[in-house]
Amino acid sequence: MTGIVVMAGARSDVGRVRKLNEDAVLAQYPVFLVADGMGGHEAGDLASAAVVDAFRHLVGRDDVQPEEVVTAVESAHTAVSQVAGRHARGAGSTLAALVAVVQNGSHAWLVVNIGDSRVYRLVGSSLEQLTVDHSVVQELVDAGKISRSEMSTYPGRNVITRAVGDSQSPADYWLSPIVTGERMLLCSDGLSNDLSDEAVLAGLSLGGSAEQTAHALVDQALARGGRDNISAVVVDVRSGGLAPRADEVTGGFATSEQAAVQPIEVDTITSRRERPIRG
Amino acid sequence: MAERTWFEGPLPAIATDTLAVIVGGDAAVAAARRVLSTGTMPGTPEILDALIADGIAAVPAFAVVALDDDRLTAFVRGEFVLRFEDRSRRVWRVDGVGAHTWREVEAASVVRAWAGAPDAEPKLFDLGPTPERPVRVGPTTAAGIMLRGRPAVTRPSIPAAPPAASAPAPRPTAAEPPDDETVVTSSSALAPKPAPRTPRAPRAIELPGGDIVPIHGTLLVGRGPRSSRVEGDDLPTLVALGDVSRDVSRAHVKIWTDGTRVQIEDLATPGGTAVIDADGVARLLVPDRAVEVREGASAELAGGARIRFVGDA
Repeated sequence: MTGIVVMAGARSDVGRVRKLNEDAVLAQYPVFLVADGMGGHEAGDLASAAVVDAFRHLVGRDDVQPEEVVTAVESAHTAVSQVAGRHARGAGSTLAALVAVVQNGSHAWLVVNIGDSRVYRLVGSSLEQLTVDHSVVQELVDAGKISRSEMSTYPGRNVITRAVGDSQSPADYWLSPIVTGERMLLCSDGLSNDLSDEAVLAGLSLGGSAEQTAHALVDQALARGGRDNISAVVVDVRSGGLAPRADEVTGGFATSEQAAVQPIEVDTITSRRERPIRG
Repeated sequence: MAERTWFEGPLPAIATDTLAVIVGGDAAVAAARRVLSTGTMPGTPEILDALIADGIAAVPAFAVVALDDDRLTAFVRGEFVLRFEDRSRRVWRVDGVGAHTWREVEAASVVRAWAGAPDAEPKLFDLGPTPERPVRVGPTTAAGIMLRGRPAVTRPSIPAAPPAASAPAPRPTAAEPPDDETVVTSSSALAPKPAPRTPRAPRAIELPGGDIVPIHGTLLVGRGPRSSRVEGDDLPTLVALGDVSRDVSRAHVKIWTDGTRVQIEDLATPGGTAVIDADGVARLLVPDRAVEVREGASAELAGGARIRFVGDA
């Protein structure tokens, strides 16, 4: 089994409007995650921290089995529901995680999602969203009632349909090959609401280290509004993954059911917007 | 044993005491030589192995056909055509066009059959001026082969017509099919197959590089497979084949067990998948339809990558 070499960078920012940062991030191999806590009086803060704590014991290992991640998600559910029990308004959190697991002697990414934080993947010049939001607006998009570009501005965009801490909220999982050269982004909705797919693609493609890219993306979201807490984790697979050639599409997915990845239509027209000048 | 005659033609052809092989295309001679080198009495698996030794992409068109009493076994690839007539006087036609590997036919109650290159295909079974000669075991050249089974019931002997130069001799009706004979062009509607031998369910797969992967739950096999959205207790195992042909899709086949049986399904790939059972009988998988596999079988993915189903890992 070849060792996976990844470089990761993370940043979590309170934003320009909120008083408290209820997001929490973890970016230590093999666990990368973003948790966006909800609930008043510091409950959200505690909820997202509880999610991170449920995964912390996996850090530093290179033999994590997929089942251990499933167990960690269960623990996160339990921990957050305990936080909720101590607060009158309850508490919850999202979870978007990327864990390098070992299956049959080979590494793979296990992608986990509950809520509306996201995992994106950049390979070559194409951006894919690996997760599907559990949100009211995602359901509207799925039903064809609104377009993807309307998601970030639609009223009620912050209403999620699944949350960590709610026992009725199972996680979605995807297994995905680890491909050398790919770049992953995990982010809270503070980033994806303020930045269009086009801006996310541009921010990820501009180069720079994972750390620099995470900072730059959060800076851009701050410049475009910063209405919510903003978190970004960027993960670069430097070596040890599948050769990128093995990941090229030849015939594509023949059925939409098999298509784990929904390629995002990105508008490539050159933007005429001027950069905000910051003093 | 059937009575066999070669149709004259230029293609390399070989007959054993039971089987007849005709090969077409650019690599026909080389493929025929490989068949010859398998020994004096190769069976169908050996012949098919010799034909596909250069990989499916390089296999010439061929027909391999045997008629044992009234049981027909045939494999046709490419343009090659098989026609046969059953006891109900229905005529069936199968060719290999569009098959990733080949089309396989097993049928009972077959009275006669013809296999060969499309340009020599007889319109009816009674051929008139087409040159035919009896088959002898060994290599030759031909364009097709006619096989006539022994009639199940011995026909009453027809008294020889008195020689009469002026009156046309009455033609024996049994040998003259009507002009509107029914031609059914389907390979799926054929006579049911005999019950196959039943080797055990496989326990593992052997990858092209020799790695063994045990079959637990669901395996997704391909160039770089990824799963669709699943629940936590339903996680598949990804099996990346690494450096294989680009004809293999990223996620090409799904292999799974329910504890007793193992099934395989082609994930609607552009290249397709063929399953070859332990007896060497190949089937092209219908996309998104599961097929049970047993120990000793193998799956050939587009581009030639082969996965073997083996016993204990």
